[in-house]
Amino acid sequence: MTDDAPESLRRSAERVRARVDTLLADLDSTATEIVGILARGGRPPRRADLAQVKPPLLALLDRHRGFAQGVGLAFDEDHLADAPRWMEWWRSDDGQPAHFVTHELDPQHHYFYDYASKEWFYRPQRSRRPAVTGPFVDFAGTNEHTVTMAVPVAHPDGFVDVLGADVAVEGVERLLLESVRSGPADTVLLNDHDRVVASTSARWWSGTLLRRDVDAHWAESAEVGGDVGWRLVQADV
Amino acid sequence: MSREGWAVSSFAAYLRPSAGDGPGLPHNVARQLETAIDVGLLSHGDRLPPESELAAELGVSTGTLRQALETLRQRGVIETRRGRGGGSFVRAVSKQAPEAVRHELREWGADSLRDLGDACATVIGGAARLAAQRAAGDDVERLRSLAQQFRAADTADERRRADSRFHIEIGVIAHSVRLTQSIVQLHDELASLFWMVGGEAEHHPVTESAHAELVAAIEAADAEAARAAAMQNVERRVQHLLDLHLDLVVRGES
Repeated sequence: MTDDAPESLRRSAERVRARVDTLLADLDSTATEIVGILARGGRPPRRADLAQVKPPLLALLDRHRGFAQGVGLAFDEDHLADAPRWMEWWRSDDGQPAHFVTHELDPQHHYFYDYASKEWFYRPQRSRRPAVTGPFVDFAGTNEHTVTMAVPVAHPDGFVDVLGADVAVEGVERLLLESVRSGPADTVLLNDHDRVVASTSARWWSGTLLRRDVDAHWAESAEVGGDVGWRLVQADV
Repeated sequence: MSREGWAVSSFAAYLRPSAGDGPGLPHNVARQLETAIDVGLLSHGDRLPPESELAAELGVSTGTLRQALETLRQRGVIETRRGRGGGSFVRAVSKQAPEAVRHELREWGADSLRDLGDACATVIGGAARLAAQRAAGDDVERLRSLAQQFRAADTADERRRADSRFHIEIGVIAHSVRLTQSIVQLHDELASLFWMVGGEAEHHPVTESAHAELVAAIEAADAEAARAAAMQNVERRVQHLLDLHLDLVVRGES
């Protein structure tokens, strides 16, 4: 079993990578589309102009139905003329028609959703690269244990917004189970903080940190690669 | 707004009163709604949804909700208008006069305060324990920065807000959706009472060091120390409220 474990683990990692990359690539091309839409509209853009952005967002959400539950555009500070902060976010549960998600954007409010300070926003914005962040409890956002996949949206005028898609941890669990097709070995998907994103075993729970010095001996490891920052590890049988 | 007239889209889930019907439930529902208004979840002029919808959102019968709304009407917290454009609307809650605050505290039974304290201590203690086990990356830095916002706060409102955000963050670092939800309900109920009776006038240095102790325990990944620190802080607040409450009862103030 240990002889072909590395290769099957690598294949599993590739499958995970492929699914995430499909979403990231789609986010990227939608980002380009959105830059074009807003460039053709009023300068600076206003919230009313965002009606044009709704169709590509809903189309993206529809293409990733069953994996992503929400997609949206989070704006750079003062990019919009009539709001210092804004999130144009749409969500669909269980194949229901998508609905707009209101976020509390008043800093005085008790439950102000300060998206600018959240990793899912600032990482792609600052690095200008796609980023996969989480799992995290998205309090005042999705209010779920969430993984967010996001890309920067760089405009010619210098503003950089962020286009993101929310994937519930359950969605990543399903992806992992579909990708790891064989063997009794426990397989765990980790993020770059050694936090468990998902696992094939009841012993390793999403959201917890993997303590390498404890319990299982981790026989193999395969990077998921690209911008994803995850890796798959497999315990000794 | 995602739904016409209902200002809180993702927060209805946080307003769920504790399960189980009983004589105390309308009072519980009224208090939940009042806390929601107090902390800014619902603002002056916001229209409450139709009774059947709101009752369903809160998971209670319309009868229970009606009793709760009647209580709030009597207290002037909401007003109901008939006819076109009618409905129940939130009225601005001006800062309660000290007598009104003392009256409210006196209305709480000592045992109810203790009960709230137990639940709050357990939830926050449990979340703190998990947070100590699960903190990584910039979690501690974020928590520390929220503690700093509390120290830097100038007004009672700012302190309340910072304190609330600090405790919610513990639930987030614990990676627990349910505990975060419970913290929003329980901590905010206890804290709003605490800050309302001028708890912050004497106690914020105590709160500051309590925050610092908790951050240190979480940073050290010491689960038991984190749980103990969190529980002790809640217990201290309940003590303060009980002292005040009994004082009011013994002095016979109304």
